[in-house]
Amino acid sequence: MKDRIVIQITGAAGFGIKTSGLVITKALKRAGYYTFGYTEYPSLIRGGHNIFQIDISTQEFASVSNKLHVLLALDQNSIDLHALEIEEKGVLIYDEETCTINDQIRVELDRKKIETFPLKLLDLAQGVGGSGIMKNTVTLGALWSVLDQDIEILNTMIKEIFSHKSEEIINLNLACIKTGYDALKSKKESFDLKPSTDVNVKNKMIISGNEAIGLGAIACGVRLYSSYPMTPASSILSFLATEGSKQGMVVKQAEDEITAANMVIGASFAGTRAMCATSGGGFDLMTESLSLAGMTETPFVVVLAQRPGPATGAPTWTAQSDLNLALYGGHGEFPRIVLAPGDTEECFKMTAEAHNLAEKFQTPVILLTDKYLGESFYETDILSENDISIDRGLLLNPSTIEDKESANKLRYQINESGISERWLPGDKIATFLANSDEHTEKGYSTEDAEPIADMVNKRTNKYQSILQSVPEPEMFGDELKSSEVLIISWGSNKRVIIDAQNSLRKEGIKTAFMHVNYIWPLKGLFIAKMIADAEQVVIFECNSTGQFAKLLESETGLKLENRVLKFDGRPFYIEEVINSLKNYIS
Amino acid sequence: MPTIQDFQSPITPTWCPGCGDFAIWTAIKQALVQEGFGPMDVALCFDIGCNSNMADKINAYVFKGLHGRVIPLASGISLANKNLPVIAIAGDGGTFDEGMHHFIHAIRSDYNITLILHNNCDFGLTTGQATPTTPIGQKMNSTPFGVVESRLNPTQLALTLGASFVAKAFTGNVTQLISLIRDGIQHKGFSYIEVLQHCPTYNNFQDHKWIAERVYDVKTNNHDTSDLQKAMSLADYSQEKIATGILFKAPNSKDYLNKLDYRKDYKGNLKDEVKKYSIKELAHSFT
Repeated sequence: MKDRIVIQITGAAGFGIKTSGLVITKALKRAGYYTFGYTEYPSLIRGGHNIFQIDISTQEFASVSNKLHVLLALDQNSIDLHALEIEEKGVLIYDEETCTINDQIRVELDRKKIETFPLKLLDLAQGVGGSGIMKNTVTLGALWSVLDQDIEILNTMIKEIFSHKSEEIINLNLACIKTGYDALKSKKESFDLKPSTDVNVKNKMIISGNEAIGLGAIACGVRLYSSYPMTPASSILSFLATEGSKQGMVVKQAEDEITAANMVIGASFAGTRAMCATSGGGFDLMTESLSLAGMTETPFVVVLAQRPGPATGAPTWTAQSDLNLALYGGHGEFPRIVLAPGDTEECFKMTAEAHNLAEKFQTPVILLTDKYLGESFYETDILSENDISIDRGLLLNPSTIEDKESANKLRYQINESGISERWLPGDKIATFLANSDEHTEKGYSTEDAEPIADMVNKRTNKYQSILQSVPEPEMFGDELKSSEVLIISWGSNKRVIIDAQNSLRKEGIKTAFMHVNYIWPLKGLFIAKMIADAEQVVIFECNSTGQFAKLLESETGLKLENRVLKFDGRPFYIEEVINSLKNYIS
Repeated sequence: MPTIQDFQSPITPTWCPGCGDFAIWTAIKQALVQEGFGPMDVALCFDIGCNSNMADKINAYVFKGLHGRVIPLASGISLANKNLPVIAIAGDGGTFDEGMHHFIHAIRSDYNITLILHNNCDFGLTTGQATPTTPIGQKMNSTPFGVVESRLNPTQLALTLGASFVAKAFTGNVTQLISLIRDGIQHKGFSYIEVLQHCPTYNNFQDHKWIAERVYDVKTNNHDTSDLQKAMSLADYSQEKIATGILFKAPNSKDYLNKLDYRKDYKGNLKDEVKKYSIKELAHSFT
C-alpha cells in the first residue's frame, strides 16, 4: 500500500475544477482520510489550464507530492500535458467525447500499465436527464468509484452543496453521480486505500490559509476590513465580504492599497480593530502609510500574501521573496512586527495575535503569507474563538479615569518600555495630536535636536519590549543533539518539512527542525545557540537570494551557507525536501 | 458651553502675513464652538501643506497624516466612530494631484466627513509650484514658460461625481465660511467645501482683491440647491462672477454606513464592537 495517493483534476479554467476538487477533498476527509488540496491556475478567467491536486494519506500530513497516480482529464490539453506524468499502474479517466489519446501517449501508458477509463460524459449526463453542465458531476461519481469509496458520502455532499436548490436539481445531480459511479464500478482495480482509524479526521475542517485568516479576523473583533483586490490576497476580501458582514463587519473594497492602509490607520486610531491585505505590489504602495502608522504609534495590521515578483511577476504562483520588503519597506526607522504563519491553524491564531501585538505595542504588524498557504486546503482541527484571546494593551477606559488625572496625560509620554497609554478621539481624557511630523509627547511638531532624538529612542525601545513578549521558535522532529541536521525554515514550509522529517525517520535518519514564525523582532540568541549546537544547518526558503538566511546571519553573526532555495513559483514538493536533506546526510 | 479659547493652542501660526489660512483657522474654531463642540468632541484630520501646518495650532483631537491621503484617513475615523464630527483639512495640491482618486471615490462612497479644501491655486510649502487649479499660461516656479495643462474645475468634478454636498467659500467672508462649515458638519455624507484663498507669496494672479471683486452669495439669488444643472453652470470658469455658498445639496442622500443594509441592526459604533465573536457555526460549514 502506498503512503500517499495523488489525484489531479485538470481542465480549462471555467470548468469548475476547483469546485470539483473541493467536493472530492471534503468527501475523502469524511471517508476518514488525511487530505491536502493544492491548486494551480494561470492569471486568466477562462481557457487557461487549471489543476486541483488532492494528496491523500492514512497518516497526518500537509504537503504536495510531485508524483501523480490518478488523473481526471477534462480536456485534450490535460491528456497532452499530464498523461505521461502518471506513475506506473496509475489511472487515467477522461472524456472520450472531447479527448483522444494519440498513439505515442498510448504506447507509453500501456508500457506503464496505466488503466485508462474513457467516459462519454455528455451521453451519461443526458442519459439520466441531465444537461451539459452536469458532466462535472458525472466525473465526480466516476472518480469516487475508482477510489472505491462509499457513494453515500458523496451523495450527502451533493445534497449539502445544492441544499438551496430545488429537489429536482438535487435528484438530477444525484443521478449523475450514480451514473458516473456505475460506469466504472465493474471495471476498476481496487486501490487498497484504507482510511485512518482516527475518528477525529471526519470532524476536521477543510480550509485554506486565507479563509483561516478571515475566521481569525472575525473571531478577534476586526470590525473594518478595507482592501483592494490582488492575488493571492483577494479571497480574504471575498470571504469577509460574505461571512464577516453577517456579523456586522464593515467590508470595504477600497479604490487602491493606499486608501485601504490609510482607512485602516484612521479606523484603528478611532478605536476599532481594522485590517487590510495585499500582495507585494500593493504592499509597495502601502509602505508610506506603514511608516505613518509607525510614526503615529497607531496599531496597524496588514496581510502581505506573497507571489513571485518583481513587478507583476507570476501572479497566481507562490514565493517567499518579499521578506525583505516586509522587514525594510517604508521610509525612516520604526519598530515593526513580522509574523509568518506556517499552516492554517497558525493563520487563524496569528491573525488574532497580530491584532493583540499591534495594540499592545502600538505599531505595524505584518502577517506574511503566500499563495501556497493562502490558497491550499489544509485538513485542520476545528478552529474556535476559545483558542484566541483579546488584548488591547494600554488602551484606557475613559470612565475609570479621574478628571484631574486625565488633564495631564500625554499620549506619547516617554518611558523605558517605549509604550505609552493610548486613548481615543472623543474620549473625555486629553486632546493630542497623532502627528506624521516628528513630535513632542503631546504630539506637537518639533524640529529641535533633543526632542527628535528622544522620540526616536522611545519608539526604538519598543523592540526590546516586543522581543521579551514573543515566543521562541518552535522545534519539531528529533532532539537536536541526536540529529544529523538542523533544518531552519519559516512560514509555509513548515508542514512539508515536518512531513519530510517523518519520512526520513522511517529510514532511520534523525533531523531537528526550527520553524520560525515570529520573524521580527528575531529571537537571535536562542537561534544562535541552536545553530551552535547543531552538527550542520540547512535553510529552506522560496526565494533566490536566501533572504531569511541572510537575516539569520546578520542577527547571529554566524555563517549559514547550506541553503535550499526554490524560486520557480511552485512550493517545495515533499520529494524535493527529502532529497535535498539526503545530500547533507552522510 | 465650549468657547473659542478652548481650542487655543500654545503654538503660534507660521503662515505668511495676509495668508487666507488665518481666516479658515478662525472659521473652523468658530463653527465648532457654535455647533456646541469642545476640543475633545471632534477629530480634525490634516494633510501636508501650508493648510495643514494648522494641525498643532488648534487644540483638539488631531491626526496629521500623509500628503494627499487625508481623505481615506478621515473616512476610516468616521467609519469607526460615526458620532464623532470628522473634518478633513487639505489643499488643492495634495488633493487634486497626489490624492485625486481619494477625492473621487470618497464622493462616490459618501463617507460622513467634511472636507475643507484650501484652494490657493499653488503649492505654497514647496515654494510655489503649479497645481491642477493653476490657470493655463501661469508662470510658476516649476513652469517658467507657463502652465500648459488644462485647468481642473474641482467643483464641477465633485458635482459630476454625484457629491451630496458642494459648497464654495472665500476667506474674505468668514461669517459665510463659518455657516458653511456648520452646514457641512450637519450634512450626513461627504461635504465638500472649497475655500478660495489668497497666497500672498506665490499667487499674484488671483489675489484677495481679485477674488473679492468677483464673489457673490448664491443665497441672494434664491438659488435652488437641489438643481444640479444650475450648480454646474454656476461653477463654470466661464462665469464672470464666482458663486459662493451651498451650490448643491442632494435632497435624499445616505452616507456610506447608512447604505450598508447588513449594518441596519447595528446602532452603535465599530469602535465599541471589538470583542470576541463566535465562529462556531461558520467553522462547522468547513467540515
